[in-house]
Amino acid sequence: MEARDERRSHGDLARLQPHFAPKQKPITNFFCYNLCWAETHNFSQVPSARNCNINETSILETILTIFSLFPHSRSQNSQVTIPRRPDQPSPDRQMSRDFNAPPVVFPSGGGATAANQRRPPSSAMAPQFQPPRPANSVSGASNPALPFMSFDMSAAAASTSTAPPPSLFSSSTIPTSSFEDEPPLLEELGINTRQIWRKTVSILNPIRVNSNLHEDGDLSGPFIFLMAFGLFQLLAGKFHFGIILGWVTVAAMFLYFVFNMLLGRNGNLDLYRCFSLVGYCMLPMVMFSAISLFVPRGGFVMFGLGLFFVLWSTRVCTRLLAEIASCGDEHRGLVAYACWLVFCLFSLLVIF
Amino acid sequence: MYNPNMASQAGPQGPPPLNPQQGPFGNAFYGAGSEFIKTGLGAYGEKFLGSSSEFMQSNISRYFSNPQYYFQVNDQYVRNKLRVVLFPFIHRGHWTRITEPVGGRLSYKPPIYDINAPDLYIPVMAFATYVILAGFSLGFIGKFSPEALNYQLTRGLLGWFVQVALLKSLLYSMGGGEAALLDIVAYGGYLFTGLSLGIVVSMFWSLSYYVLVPWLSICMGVFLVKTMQRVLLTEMRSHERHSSRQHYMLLFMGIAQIPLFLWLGSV
Repeated sequence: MEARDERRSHGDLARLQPHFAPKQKPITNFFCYNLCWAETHNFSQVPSARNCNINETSILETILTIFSLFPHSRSQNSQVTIPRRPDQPSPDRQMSRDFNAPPVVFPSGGGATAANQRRPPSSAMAPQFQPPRPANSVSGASNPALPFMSFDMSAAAASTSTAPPPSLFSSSTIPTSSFEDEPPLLEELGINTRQIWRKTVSILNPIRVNSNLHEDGDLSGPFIFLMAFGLFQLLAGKFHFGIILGWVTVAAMFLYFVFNMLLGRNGNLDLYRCFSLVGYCMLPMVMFSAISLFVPRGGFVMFGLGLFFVLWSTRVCTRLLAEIASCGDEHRGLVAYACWLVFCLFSLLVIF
Repeated sequence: MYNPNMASQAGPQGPPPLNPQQGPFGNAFYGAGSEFIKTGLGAYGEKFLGSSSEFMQSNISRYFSNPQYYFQVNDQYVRNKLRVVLFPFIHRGHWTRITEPVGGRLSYKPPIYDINAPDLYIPVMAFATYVILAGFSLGFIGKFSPEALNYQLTRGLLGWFVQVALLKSLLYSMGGGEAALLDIVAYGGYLFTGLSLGIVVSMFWSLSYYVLVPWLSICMGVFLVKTMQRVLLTEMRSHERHSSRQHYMLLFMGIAQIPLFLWLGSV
């Protein structure tokens, strides 16, 4: 009895394939096999065509024919192990018979490249990442058919490589001579990471303020701080990125307005430096929002910490403003109060 | 904050203007135009200020006096002015503004030299303090959210506007409508000082707010009455002084502070 069941189950499995004979593809069989396996929900029972819900197979077939419209190349790493009948041809040869991928044709190829294209396409994928030969503008001319390529297309290279590098790597837009002359990306963007680090460290000291570093404004440091602030708020469950951006803008404009009105012609604060200063002085607020994740909400500890960090921010901001924008002594209290208001606003976000 | 573009343009104007109504305001414009350009907003500044500066100069100076005048303050002035605003009974001395003849026209001395001159620093700071304190008191109740804070800001601005409209309409009805608009805005903004004080106290003891509101509004009323009297005296013709209608209007202005305080203070 058991032997007969076994044979029947085997035969049933095998009968899966002829059932879907018209569009016989390994991937189809793979899906159907898994579907039937899932359908039965009973792993002790070997799935068979009879156990499967046959009504859904037609829908499945339609879906899979749609999938089959996309050309799929059989990769060498496919782990589809489908039991197949011994007399069936191997999937490899079946695949190559069904799916003859057209050879990749390059528009302008010499004889060597044309010969390369005749090879089976499966081997075209292997040597993709050829290290570029030392860029030699003369080498581009050595292969007049491909002047835009910066790689050395010598004959030796062609013989070892089975295919020309795909056109993705042909740097048709970058002139060969100035690629090394281009400045590094951060320098081009104006982000001086050393300076940002030094400025950040200088803010951490609430007693002594080094104002030379902050003479030139810089928006990348503030950007990092604001992102960190938003991230810590997110960890606390509050999604405040847009609000932080808007409030920083409004606060910096408010400070700029008050400062320039108070000092008139004596002060030289421009909006860019004001933004930069407010952004850098947000560092204590970022630390406060990080610490507040571990402090119980609404307690006295929270308010005490808030007061401490707001005072820190205010002190640093006032000192920097006083030294950079040449604020007089008679206006220091007035400017300090404006700074205090700005940082109180952000502490509101953290505390509540 | 209500006038940030204006104010930033009038930035580099240093010494007190010859005449708060016209003239140096144009200089402030041009001077500020170059500063505006320097800050990187130059393209827009050139477009808005350069081409239409004459139009703006002639029209804006009709409505706004130079805002730089109102920010010439120092620590000592701020302290004394706060005392005057919050406890107007204590102020011994006259309430008139000191005038000086400059360039053939009488103009008022800037706030540094004159305790009775209005300034814009205190109203703006008091308004910002009010908004932040409203945020804190919302947080204590548990209803804080950034949108609620924006709503409080709008409410505060509306209250300021209502106060200014009230003062301006009273002045118009009594014939003193030529007072500078920014003066009235400054006078209207002083109410936020008392309001902030009230909110701070009410954060510690919620019932105390209803005790403080009559006191604060009466203080503000007295302050405004005395100030407006001086304004009217300078603006009006002599035969209309000391009329009973005038007294009733001023009394109304003082009483109207109470609902305003109640409305703005209930966060």
